[in-house]
Amino acid sequence: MRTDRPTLESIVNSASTVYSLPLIHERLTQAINNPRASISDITLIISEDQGLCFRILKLANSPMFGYHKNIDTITKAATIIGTQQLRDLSLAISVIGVFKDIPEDIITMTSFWKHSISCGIVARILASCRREPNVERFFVAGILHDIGQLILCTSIPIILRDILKQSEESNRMLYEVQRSELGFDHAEVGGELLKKWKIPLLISEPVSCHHAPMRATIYPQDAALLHVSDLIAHALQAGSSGEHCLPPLNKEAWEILNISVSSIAGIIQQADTQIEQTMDSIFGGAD
Amino acid sequence: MKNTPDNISSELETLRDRNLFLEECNQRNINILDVLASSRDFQEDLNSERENSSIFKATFQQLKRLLPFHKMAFYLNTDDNSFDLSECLPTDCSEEMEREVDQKISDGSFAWALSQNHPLFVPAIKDDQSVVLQVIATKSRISGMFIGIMPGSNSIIDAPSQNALTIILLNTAYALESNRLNNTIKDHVQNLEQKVTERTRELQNARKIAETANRSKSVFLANMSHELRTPLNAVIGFSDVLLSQSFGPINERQQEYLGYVFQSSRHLLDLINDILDLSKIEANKMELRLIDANMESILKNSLIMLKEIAHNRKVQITLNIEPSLPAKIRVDERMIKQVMFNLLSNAVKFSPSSGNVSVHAAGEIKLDNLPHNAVSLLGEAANPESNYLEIAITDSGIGISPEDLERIFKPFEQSDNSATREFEGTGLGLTLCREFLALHKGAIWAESNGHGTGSTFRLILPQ
Repeated sequence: MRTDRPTLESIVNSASTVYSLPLIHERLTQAINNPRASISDITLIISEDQGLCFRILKLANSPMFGYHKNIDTITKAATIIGTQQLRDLSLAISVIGVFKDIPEDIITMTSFWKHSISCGIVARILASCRREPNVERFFVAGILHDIGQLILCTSIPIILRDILKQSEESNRMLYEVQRSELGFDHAEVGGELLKKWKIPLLISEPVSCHHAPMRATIYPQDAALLHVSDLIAHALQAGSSGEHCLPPLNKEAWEILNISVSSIAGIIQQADTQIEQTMDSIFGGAD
Repeated sequence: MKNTPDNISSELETLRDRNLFLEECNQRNINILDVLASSRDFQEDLNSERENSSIFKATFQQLKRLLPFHKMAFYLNTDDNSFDLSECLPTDCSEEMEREVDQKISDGSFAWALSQNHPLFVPAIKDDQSVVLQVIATKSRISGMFIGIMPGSNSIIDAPSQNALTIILLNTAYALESNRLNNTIKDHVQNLEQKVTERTRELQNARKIAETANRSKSVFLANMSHELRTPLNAVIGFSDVLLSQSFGPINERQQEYLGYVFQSSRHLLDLINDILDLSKIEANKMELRLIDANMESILKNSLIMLKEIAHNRKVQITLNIEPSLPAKIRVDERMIKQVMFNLLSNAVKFSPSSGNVSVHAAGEIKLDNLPHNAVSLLGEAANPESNYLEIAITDSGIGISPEDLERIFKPFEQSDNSATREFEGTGLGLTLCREFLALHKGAIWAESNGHGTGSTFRLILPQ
């Protein structure tokens, strides 16, 4: 029995002083909600960050979008992809930069982001099957869904290493061991940090409930979608966030999504073709 | 940074700007909420309307409150997957709309907008205008495309307004979809009604024809039987007189042949009488003449009439009457006599030489104590309150196979067609028995364990 057991609050509080939401997100949110702002205001904000600008255009021209023509300016991207979508994409890309200095002795970063991006891609495809108006929101949620794991890596590395070992030896799900050892799991840590960052509940609640989707009280459908996407991403075995087994499917979550089993094969195939190029768009250098 | 007057005034300036901006945002958001709140009326409109064009007009009204569109149009997805202009506002902008859409189709943005579920902003042909494209789709079906033209080049609208536009057009999509489904259902219902009416008329005609034919048949038979009986009476009467030799002696061969004439004509008369009864029943002309009859004496009289035949065939008949059999029963005595005579003569006829026929009669029986098929034979006449009397006639004859148990009650059927020759009869006896009993709200059925085990005919009558 540990006496100095860390609390969810203490971990998130200290993490929020180290990791802060990229400033650009706040500015973009204000601009797209501003009735007076024009498309050039939005373009200007993104163009200030050349790296972000480059990655957004690379992503916009990747198979994830499959637009038939070259999108060569942010202005074009804003009209074709949509302004809210552009804001969410820039969040997805810039948040990865926030966690670039995590020590790799527990989790390999490339592998971690590959799993996260796979989850984001699957979530995005599932959302477009359901004809959601803004599918990039699901892409971001997928990319962010396991950031709690990164926070645990830096705030309680010794305990986390112990939990990982326990989970592997006893063949139990990582989040279950976390719950029994800590009283909370990495999903809740991630969700709490996003709340601290003032990311809307639309994204933070699904992240915080992705291992217990029926616990979501406000956006249960979005949580269910993220839960199923995480599972499919695990099954694709593209990258890893530290979990060594396939998480069990929550039946209720599956039922409220109302997806036919026969469509899953197509979704996986579609996701499979996008993962490598999306990884390259986000991490790769200039061609 | 020190609080120099310059700094303070510039900070004041910034705060004033910020305040103005927030006020403007607030105003904008209140306006959007108002538009969405008023969509309640809009939805009720959509629910009551059954014309696509009124759905479009209601949507135009709603969108005008939201955004400065000066031209709007709806394109509907037709059956062959092309998009046709359905409604535009103002009505004279159709040519401009068609030009815009043609251009958006050729540059690919129309197709792109179809695959996206949010508004797409693209430059218009005219420099000082922008075009908004948003698909109108439910989760299952793309019903069309909304096109709006706004002033200002390269303009883009704020996220809350975009989302409101998406919500309103989603409502439109569902209204169009429910409209489409409603029309499909209406078509189906109409089709169905028409088919039902046609089929009913056909059936009514067919029934009328069949009824008329049947009635004509019965009338014909009733008349014919009467016409046949008159000459037959002469044949029977005169052959009988000749046989009695009151008008002089006849030789043995003449006597034998005359005997055949007499027997055959009697048989023919029976047949004609049965046909007459049956046709009367079918023509609903048979009337019951109810009297208080004594069942026991009916049974005994029938046995007396069969005594000679039974004696000749060496068939033993036993009569067993339970005390429960009521002394009096209200029936048409002629019919019940005929039923008993038919059943008993069948039993004697189908029993082998030195066989046995037993008659068992009892009363005070409730429906519950009768087999299931008795109740179903009674049908509507079944009365659980009533007491029934039962008469069972068991023979030691050839028996009846299970599939024939019901068939033998049909006209001109005997259990074994090959046996028809051996056992003479009109072939109408059992049919008549069943009809007569039905007229009395009674029933008759046969029981047998199959070939060679004999058979029992059981009849019930309400007491």
